[in-house]
Amino acid sequence: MSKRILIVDDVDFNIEFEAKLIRSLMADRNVDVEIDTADSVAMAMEKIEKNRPYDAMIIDMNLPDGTGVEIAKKARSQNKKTRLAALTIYPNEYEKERESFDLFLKKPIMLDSFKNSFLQLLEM
Amino acid sequence: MMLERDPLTGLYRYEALVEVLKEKFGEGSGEFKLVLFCIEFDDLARFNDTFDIDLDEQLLIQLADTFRKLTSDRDIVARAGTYRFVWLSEGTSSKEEAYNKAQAILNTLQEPFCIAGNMFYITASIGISLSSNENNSAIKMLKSAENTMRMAQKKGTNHIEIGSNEPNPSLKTELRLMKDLPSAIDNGEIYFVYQGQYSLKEKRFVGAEILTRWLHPELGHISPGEFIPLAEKSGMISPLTTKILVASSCMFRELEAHGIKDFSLSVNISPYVLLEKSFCDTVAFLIENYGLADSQLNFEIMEDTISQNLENFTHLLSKIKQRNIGIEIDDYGTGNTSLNYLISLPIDTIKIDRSFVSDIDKHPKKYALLCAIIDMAKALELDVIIEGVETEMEIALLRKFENIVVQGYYFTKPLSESEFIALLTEK
Repeated sequence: MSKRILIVDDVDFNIEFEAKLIRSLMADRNVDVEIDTADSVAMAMEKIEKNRPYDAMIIDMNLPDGTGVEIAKKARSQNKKTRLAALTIYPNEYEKERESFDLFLKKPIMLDSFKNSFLQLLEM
Repeated sequence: MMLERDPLTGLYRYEALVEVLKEKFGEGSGEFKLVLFCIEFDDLARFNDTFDIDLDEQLLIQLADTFRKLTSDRDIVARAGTYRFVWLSEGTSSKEEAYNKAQAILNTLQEPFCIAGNMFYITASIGISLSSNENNSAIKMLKSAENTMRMAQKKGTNHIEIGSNEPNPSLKTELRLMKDLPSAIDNGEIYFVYQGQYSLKEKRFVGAEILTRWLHPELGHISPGEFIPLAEKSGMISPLTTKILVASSCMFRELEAHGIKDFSLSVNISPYVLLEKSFCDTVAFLIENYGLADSQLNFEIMEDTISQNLENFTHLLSKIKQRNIGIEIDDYGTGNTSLNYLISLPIDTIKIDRSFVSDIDKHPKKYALLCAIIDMAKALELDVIIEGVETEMEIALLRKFENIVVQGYYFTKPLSESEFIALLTEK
């Protein structure tokens, strides 16, 4: 089994940390994983447009050129099966956007809850 | 409504009291005459060590009986924590009346409790919160009572405080900082600096302590003494520690790239983090993915947290040691601990608190005490770091001890990563 994941975040630390966490989590389950990254809405849109569908995306809600909501809508329109997680410090502020995402992950990232939520996102 | 009881004391459970309080506020828009007393007893577990039984539990049962005798039909008392109780009283709206009631409770509690022929005197702090136009919800009242109780605790034992209707300024700032803390950790407002540790024997910097700083965009520099306790309270200490540990790995790589070897980094680890169930997993993850233990990393544990957690720490610190991470006892000499832990815990280093060093040139007894501590550490094969060394006179006296490491403004203040590397590489 293999999974394609897109991480969208403009903070290098977060991208690296999430990628390492996901790799370690998937390795424990003998699942191959391909991780792609984007640091802006524009770059994420381009990757969604050009690349084959991702199994899941983790999208930071506070990006320099917009919010993660636009990315989620684009991703959904391309492929309904892509699982979407919003990463935010303030999940309550995005109450209206609940439907655009499968789940909300809280920042700053806590190792344990991130792992559990990510597995939930992939329905593993 | 069926209210659940606390199995040990038979008093109501905290959740039950919250429900009752919510219901009271939901009963209309009239004037509520409610008072909450938040009562916390000072560390009842301290008796357990002496008597080798769970004496605190027996005391709690007796305390609950005392409460029952003092309550009227309109009162509800619930257990809200290990040694914390919340008492809801209806029909009182004057501060004086509420204070008198709290005083009566405290007076009764100051009577000795008798268990198995022994007399026990206990101490407590009480915070009072009265309902008002501003204090008009269950959550506000409970928070206010709890915060007021903490203010009472800060004043010493057996104190009573009444909450004002307006949040006090320090509480306002605290709430603001607590709200801003997660984004500060995420966006780099919280950053790290490095204070060098100088070996008098090797005549070079052999390590550094990583310190945390917060430059708030509106409030300016916030001291770690202010935000670390808030991070502990809000659970943010855990992601903050993870970030510091990742930063330490990156710093090790930088040092290596500059040809700096045989160099250690020390990271403060809060007991809240250390006792988290997932902490060892986090360390394992960081070792595997960030090479955390490839270099000389040390965890600094505050001495005053040891006595409360000795059993847990013995096991945890051994596990950490097995991962090739050193253990340092921070602020050595300030904690209310027995010396036994120096033998039972797998410690590598003691960091002698600055209070033992400041003005040693003027106080011969202080100097003698410092000499004795260093001799003891050496006898136990522990490394010694002396903190807070600031003057030429202090360092002149310390030079007698060849094999020690000193940290303080005399050698360097805390520096940014690039400044610190420049200091280490300057010819």
